[in-house]
Amino acid sequence: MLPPDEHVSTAWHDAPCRGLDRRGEVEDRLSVRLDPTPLAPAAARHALAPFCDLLAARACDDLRVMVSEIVTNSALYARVSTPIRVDAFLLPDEVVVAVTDDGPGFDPGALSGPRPGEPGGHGLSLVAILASAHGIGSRIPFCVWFAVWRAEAGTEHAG
Amino acid sequence: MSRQGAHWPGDPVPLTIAPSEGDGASACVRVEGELDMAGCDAFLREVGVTVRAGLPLEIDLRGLTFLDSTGTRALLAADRLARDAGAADVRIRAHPHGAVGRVLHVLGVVHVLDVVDG
Repeated sequence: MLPPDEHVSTAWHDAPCRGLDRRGEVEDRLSVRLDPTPLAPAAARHALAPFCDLLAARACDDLRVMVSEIVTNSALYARVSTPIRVDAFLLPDEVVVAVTDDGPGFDPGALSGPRPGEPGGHGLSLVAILASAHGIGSRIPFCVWFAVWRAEAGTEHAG
Repeated sequence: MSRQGAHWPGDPVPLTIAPSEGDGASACVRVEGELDMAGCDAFLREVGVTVRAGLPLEIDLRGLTFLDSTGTRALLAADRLARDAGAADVRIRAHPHGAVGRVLHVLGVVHVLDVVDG
């Protein structure tokens, strides 16, 4: 399972999107625009399937959860008229996914970790826990990104 | 399922929510496919019509292949809804490993709800 709680940060900070930061190493790239509807998370998972297939099972599961969390937020808070943009970058050692919308974004300081039994606000914390790296790539437009290792890290096994 | 807009890249894995064959001693809701923001309302409606006062309710997630925090929130809401409706107990049956079990564990739901291994 996860590392002990004290080693897990659920904070979000400004950080350049690693897919753009390492653009010279990008092996492949996917880009999709999604209408901000309740169907957007499933559409995002589907669009990323070609990259998911290249990952270890656990990393694939995590990537699907993470993109769903971020796209769900975008679908809830972005303006109805503007698509959500999902960009995925295949790097030699990791997959980076960036989600851009025209919504107001969020205040990282207002986020707290998951609190069992209390609804709300868990999605972005879950991404921060599962991702190998994550950050707010830009504020205008609002872009958040996360990375997941292509190979299974350590000796962790399914379950 | 209808396609929403021009950007839809393909058909999703369908979500199936149905009352399960019960033995009369409990009420069951079976959820298969992927549970995210698109399916939560339908899931909670099904829980609402399936729950029976005085009987335990089982929510069978063994056929679920995807769950996110929104779907997890719906599980918490379903637990409350069923108990408010008089369910004797609410049990969630899920595979402990794999995508669904991982989210239930990471979000700490296994410590709050009665989650049993499938």
